[in-house]
Amino acid sequence: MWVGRAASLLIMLGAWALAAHWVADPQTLPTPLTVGGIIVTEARNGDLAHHMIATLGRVTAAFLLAMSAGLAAGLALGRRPGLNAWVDNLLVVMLNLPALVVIVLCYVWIGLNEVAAITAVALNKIPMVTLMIREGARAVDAQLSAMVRVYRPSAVIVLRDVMLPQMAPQIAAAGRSGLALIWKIVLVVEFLGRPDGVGFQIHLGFQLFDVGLVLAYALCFVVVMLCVEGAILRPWEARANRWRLA
Amino acid sequence: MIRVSLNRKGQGAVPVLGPMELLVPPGETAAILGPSGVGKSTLLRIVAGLDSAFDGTRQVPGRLGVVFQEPALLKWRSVVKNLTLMTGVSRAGALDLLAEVGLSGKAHLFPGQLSLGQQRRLSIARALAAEPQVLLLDEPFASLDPALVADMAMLIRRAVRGRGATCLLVTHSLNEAQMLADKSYRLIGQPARLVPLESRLEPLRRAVSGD
Repeated sequence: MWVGRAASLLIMLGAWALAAHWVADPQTLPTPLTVGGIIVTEARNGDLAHHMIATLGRVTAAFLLAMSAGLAAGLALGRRPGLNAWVDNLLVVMLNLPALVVIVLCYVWIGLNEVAAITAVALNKIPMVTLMIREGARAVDAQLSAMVRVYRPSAVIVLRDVMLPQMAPQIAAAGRSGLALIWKIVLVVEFLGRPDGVGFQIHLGFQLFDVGLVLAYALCFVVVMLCVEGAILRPWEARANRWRLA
Repeated sequence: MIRVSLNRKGQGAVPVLGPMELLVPPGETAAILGPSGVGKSTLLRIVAGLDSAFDGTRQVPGRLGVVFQEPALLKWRSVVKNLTLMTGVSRAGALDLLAEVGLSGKAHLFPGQLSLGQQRRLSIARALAAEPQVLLLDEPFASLDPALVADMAMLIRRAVRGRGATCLLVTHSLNEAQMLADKSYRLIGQPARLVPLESRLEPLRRAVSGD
């Protein structure tokens, strides 16, 4: 399988090199080699690590905030139809609110600071997580719920050992799609109002018309996010699904 | 002891259970028989306290253990954790109970690795782990072959007698009721009424006594 992945990567790099050769304008589309050179330079002078860490910190904070709030809200709405009837319209509005509007409003209302940046990103993701978890909470096994009512284990056990494992597919899907969406919104947030981060560097590249810098930072962050998915999300999913394979 | 005095239980406007009195004295086992859909499980849910939307009174004091129609196990937790997490029994106590129901050496497995009969045994072990004063059994032998039914009936009978628990069995099988119960009832009609079931010796007793 890794041969296939490596081959597809090589094909993409080859297509990029061919396109760069065909365009023949490094300012519009630099070659993979040129972008590689920029990555090495940025890594050597420490800028790459500095901006990557700033973005990764924001992604982590916004991800944890969005998942916790979405999980709590989704569970509450899924288990309480009366509450859901009250909140459903608000959820629909939040789902359809453009990300840019939320970001601008957070910067205007809270200020150009980290709290506003992370809040804006989390607010963009919370409705989607809530929606996915709500569907999972609605599909909880009625027999297990009855069993829990009879034996009355602690609330922690009910949540950790009964509810969350049943919703593992929805949590994994929300986590995976959340990570993919959040890092893209973080870049927009940084683009509009932060003094560091990958989004800030892309803004700089845009102002200088330096496509190489834009591609260098974008590529590095894509690689980091793929590593996060491979090193954290997939192992967690495999562990959560161990019982299915036993 | 189990005491339920029911005036009416309906599903919406449709009455399911009519007026009835159910009394199971302490330490005794009663069985409720009836065809599918007559309201046996509804009555059991009322006794278990899982359904409070009925017109009547319910007295079921003490700790409760329920063996559900489906085993209702945590498929993502090991066999032993299904007991310790849900009932608070110690690991050592859980291992003893697993041995009592014939599941020695299975503690580390997931429920999905057990046969249906073994899953039902695990469900019984969980009910016993709660140290119940009242044990409720909802079709505990459904989909099991006759040899296994006899085996499990003996297991339940031994466990209930050994603990002095009051027990209510819901089943559609007269044979199962006779294996376990001191007294049996039949749910009949629409809405259902509870009618005592005479023992197999009752017609003979009446013939001899000339009643």
